[in-house]
Amino acid sequence: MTDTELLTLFIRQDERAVAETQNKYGRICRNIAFGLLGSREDAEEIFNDVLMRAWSILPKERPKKLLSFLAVMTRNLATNRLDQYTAQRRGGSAQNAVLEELAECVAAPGSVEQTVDAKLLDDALVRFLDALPQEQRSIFVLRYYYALPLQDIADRRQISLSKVKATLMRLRKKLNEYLTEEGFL
Amino acid sequence: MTERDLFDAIGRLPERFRTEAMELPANTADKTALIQAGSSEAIHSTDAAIRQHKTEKPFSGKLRYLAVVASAAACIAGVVGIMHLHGGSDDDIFVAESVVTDVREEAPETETEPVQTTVTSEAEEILTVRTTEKAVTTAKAVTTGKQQGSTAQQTGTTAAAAVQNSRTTAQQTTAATAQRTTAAPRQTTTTGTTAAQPCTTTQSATTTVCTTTASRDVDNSLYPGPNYHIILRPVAYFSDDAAWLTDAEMTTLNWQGENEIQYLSEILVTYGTLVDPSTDADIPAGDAAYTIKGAAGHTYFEESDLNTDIDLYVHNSSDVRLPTDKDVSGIIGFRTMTRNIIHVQNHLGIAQPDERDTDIRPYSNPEVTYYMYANSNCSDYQDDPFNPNRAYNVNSAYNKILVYNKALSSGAGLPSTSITYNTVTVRGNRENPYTQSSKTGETFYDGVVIEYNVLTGEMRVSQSLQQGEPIPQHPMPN
Repeated sequence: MTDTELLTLFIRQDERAVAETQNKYGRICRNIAFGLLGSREDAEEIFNDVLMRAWSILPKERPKKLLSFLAVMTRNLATNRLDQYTAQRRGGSAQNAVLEELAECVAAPGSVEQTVDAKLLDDALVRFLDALPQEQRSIFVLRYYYALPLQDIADRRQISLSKVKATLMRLRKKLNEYLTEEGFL
Repeated sequence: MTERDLFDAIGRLPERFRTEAMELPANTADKTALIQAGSSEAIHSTDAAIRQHKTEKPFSGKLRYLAVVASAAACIAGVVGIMHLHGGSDDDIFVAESVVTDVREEAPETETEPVQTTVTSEAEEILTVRTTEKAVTTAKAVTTGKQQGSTAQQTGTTAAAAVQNSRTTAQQTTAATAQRTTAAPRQTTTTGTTAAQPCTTTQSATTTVCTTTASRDVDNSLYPGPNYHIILRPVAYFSDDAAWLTDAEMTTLNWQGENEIQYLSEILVTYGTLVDPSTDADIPAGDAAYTIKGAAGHTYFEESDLNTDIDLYVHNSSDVRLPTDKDVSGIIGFRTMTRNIIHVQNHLGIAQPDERDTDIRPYSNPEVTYYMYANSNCSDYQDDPFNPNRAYNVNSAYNKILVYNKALSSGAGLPSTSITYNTVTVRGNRENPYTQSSKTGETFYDGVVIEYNVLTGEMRVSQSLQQGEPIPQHPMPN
């Protein structure tokens, strides 16, 4: 089934849209969530959330690339879940409440300096990626944006697992050098 | 800067990177698309790949088996050679293997280098190992290629079967249509033939206003009502969006000359028996004849008219005017790509199931207004459950329709005076909104609930509510 047909099912609010999406993109979305959360159960929950949101959003919005739309949504939901878990590991809700109260005493997290730094880092990262060959760039994004397992990346890019590992190792080294040159490290 | 800062920065990467990464490599994407389409090209393409691999591989058949055996033997010989070279030390063997493994992980394309530097004296034997490994790898590639080819062929076969099925369905549909046509021959009236005028595109792609006019024919046999009325329910279909016009949009539509119904996909126009308008007090004097202009030769617009630019308006012989809410007896259906319509008419063929039609006029027989309720599965219907021009849930097997006489009902209760009738007709199903299903031969009373299968057109009486019983809330329970 093509993406256009899938979108049409979503627009019609046809329940087959859910099943077809599971068939076509379930594996990759679950793997993205699993890559970030490390739990199959969580990954399943995240994917269900993605389907539910897609069900409500897609009739109104028409993404250019359905897979990219679903993958980004999966990544965002999984990242949010990861943040929740991280906060819980820090000490649960009681400590969070204390931290939130203390946060009023220090600079706001979105201070000008932080925002500028983040923007500079964003720009640097974009320049770094733009300078890479397309395949290396894709491997980098698949691993560090979508958090896909290495084997999935190898399958998706039709290259060997060892090549994925080698490429990522070189990219990490190259990024480290680049960020050092740019003064971020 | 922490790793989290970097992770967050990566999370803010522009969309182009994210989209690019998700795209398959060009060859794979092309092949996948072809295979998904069941294209024979995919099969041929994959076959070609297999053939290419075949020509490249050094061994085949029994030779491949021999190559595997030779590979194993050469491996053993290589290990023995290494042991011999390094004095048989277990530690040395372990180190040598580790080096090879690491290099393979990091740079598989240069894996021959450590072999040459580590065991120079055994170069010939090691070279043999490499060669046979490549042979095995090639053999695996060929096997994979064959599997892919097999998958593609299966996909192609499935697609071919699907095409065959659709052809069969089409034939059946055609036969059914022919039968239907025979059963209810149309009385065709053709009026208002006008040469098409050129389209005027006012906005690219989404807003195109055309002034195409053409003749039409009208199926009067289906709607033998005593009066002549037309009601228009426009729906706009845009190139990238499908939307029903709201009531507000309806009222502001300019029906006179420059209509803005873009990309109207299908229109069904029918109405009752023509009468002399001069005898009909509701039709303004001077409206000698009405013409609905649509695509050439169509009572309604066919699939082939999809995305054609159509002006639709009602006019009489000398004027063009907005159809008023008095024009209630005709039924005009619209269908877009994603919506469907079900119309209900009574045995007189005069009912327009729309609660806005509050001024239905008396006919020679008491009129019955039909209301359709969606059951709770009808997601399409939830936004406006009372508007029958909204689509039913075309994927739900049965939709419930409550039939009662609105004019005789009081408040929220069903009529205390029951009207009987013997035919309930529902028009439209998922495949063809113009099919007609009728339930006859029984006496129905107000409050009867008809279950209508939008997939098959089957109708059955589900239940009957009592006279005076409160009208159930919608959506009706399943």
